[in-house]
Amino acid sequence: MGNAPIDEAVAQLSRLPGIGRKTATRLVYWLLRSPTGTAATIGRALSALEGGVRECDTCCDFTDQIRCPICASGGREQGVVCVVEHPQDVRAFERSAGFRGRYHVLHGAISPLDGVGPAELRIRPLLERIRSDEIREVILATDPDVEGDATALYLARLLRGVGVRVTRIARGLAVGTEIEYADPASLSRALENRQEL
Amino acid sequence: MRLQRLATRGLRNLAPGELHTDASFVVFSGLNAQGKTNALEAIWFLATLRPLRGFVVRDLIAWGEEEAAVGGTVDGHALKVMQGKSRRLFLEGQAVTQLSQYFGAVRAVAFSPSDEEVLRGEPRLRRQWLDRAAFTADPSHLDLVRAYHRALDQKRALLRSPDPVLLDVLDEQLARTGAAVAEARERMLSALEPHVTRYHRELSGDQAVVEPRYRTVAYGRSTADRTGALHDALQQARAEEVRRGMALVGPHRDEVRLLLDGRPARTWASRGQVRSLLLALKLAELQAARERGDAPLFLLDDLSSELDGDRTRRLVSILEGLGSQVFVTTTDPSHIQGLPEADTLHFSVREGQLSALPAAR
Ligand SMILES: Nc1ncnc2c1ncn2[C@@H]1O[C@H](COP(=O)(O)OP(=O)(O)OP(=O)(O)O)[C@@H](O)[C@H]1O
Ligand SMILES: [Mg+2]
Ligand SMILES: [Zn+2]
Repeated sequence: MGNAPIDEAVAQLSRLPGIGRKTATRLVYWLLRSPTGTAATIGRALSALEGGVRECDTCCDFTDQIRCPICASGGREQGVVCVVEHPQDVRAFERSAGFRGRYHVLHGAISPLDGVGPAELRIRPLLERIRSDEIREVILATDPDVEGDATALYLARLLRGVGVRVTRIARGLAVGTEIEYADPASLSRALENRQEL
Repeated sequence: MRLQRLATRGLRNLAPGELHTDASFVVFSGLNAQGKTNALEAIWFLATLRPLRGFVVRDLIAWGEEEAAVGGTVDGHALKVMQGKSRRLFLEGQAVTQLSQYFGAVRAVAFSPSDEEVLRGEPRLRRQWLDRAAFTADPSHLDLVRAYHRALDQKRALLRSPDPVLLDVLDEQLARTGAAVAEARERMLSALEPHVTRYHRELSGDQAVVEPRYRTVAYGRSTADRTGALHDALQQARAEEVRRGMALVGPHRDEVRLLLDGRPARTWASRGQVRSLLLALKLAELQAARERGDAPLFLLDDLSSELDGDRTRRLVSILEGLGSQVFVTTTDPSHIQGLPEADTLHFSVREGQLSALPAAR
């Protein structure tokens, strides 16, 4: 017969991407066999995500502050903004260590098939930022796939006549490689060889 | 290109095992429903990661098995594909992350009687055939076609609640990728054209001139011209596309036509003409590959139903000249005349069991 707490834990864990019922069940039984407190510690860490994590007022990256450390830092170039799809992409660019500007996180890419249009992305805060800060260049670093390209082309159209330089990272990344998983060297190269859009 | 070794496990009715296949001609013979075509399925799957016949990849897995595995050695390189719920690929024992790496190591062209549909059936089948040929010539064609279709699906979704700026963006993408698709297809047809009439004549004795023709809105001398032409066509169709909620213009609607003495083979050619025309197209594909310095494996299913003794002999001599390794299935090996026996391996196929037969009967 079923056991309600176990069933509920399996059901909740299998909501996570990449985790099916089988994996969720394995995780739950592993937790049950772990020292007392393990599940509670993990649970607290997860709870802290809600309420503790918000979007940065400037770049929309996740942070526990009003402004994220990158936006708050005086050491970053203010005039260049690198626009990415996901917070993980910011981490990937930071690992590659070549970029000294700041970021803007869209939280997705345009994909009508998934019901994601421009309104679902953090495009308005980007436009406001460009209007109020002294930004010289916007680098479009969305993924090199159909959706990422569409998003870049869309933003390029919006930014026409705004008086900023708009560039797209180079096509050096293999087709279908997501920024998040690209290696640091090819990311630096893609950034360095960016082209006017 | 030479498949020196073939190993299978859990693939349709084939008994698990390994074959030594290092010869210019490899013949699989046996009664009906024994597994001859399945042997070609194994090779085709190894080379293209797709089934040879019109079913889905899952159908390759033997009944009651979780996974099918095909391994092979091609020109000294070890390739392996394992297909369960998901697919795993190996090259020289290492997991493959980039498909282009894998496809760099093996290529194949296949002919089977059911290909008749390519000529007779709906236009989509001819576009698919041509895309397959362009892919064999340049594996990156696959990425291009996929990107085009993905953008097309996005546009179809968008047409349900159109945002004009976004439609412009998608049309720009479609114009760019679509022009490249059309250009690659047309280039492939031009590479086939000089050979196809000759092969058709040699195989059928028919003197007709064969002209492959590609009709596209993305026409032009250069890629830029093609992109421009397609872009214009998309703009012109915009209102109607929005009204009907359909993507009406682009290479997904292009026509591949084959003319026999100026008449469309699709409606005009006899059954025999269709078959020899198709075989001629495949041979032309091999010849075009040869001109690029390539020699894909050639899989020829059910040869006996195709040609009489004389024509088979002619075909074998053409194949010898092409330098591709040839895998043939037949119910009657005596039907295939003129094989260079010293360079031919024979296998009998019985209830999925492939057994080497002694050479030179
Ligand atoms: N998924 C599967 N698992 C096991 N056996 C299968 C599977 N799919 C098909 N078969 C068997 O494979 C056999 C057909 O093999 P195949 O199509 O290779 O025959 P063939 O020798 O080419 O025959 P023909 O001369 O009629 O073309 C059938 O007997 C069928 O029962
Ligand atoms: Mg068969
Ligand atoms: Zn920030």
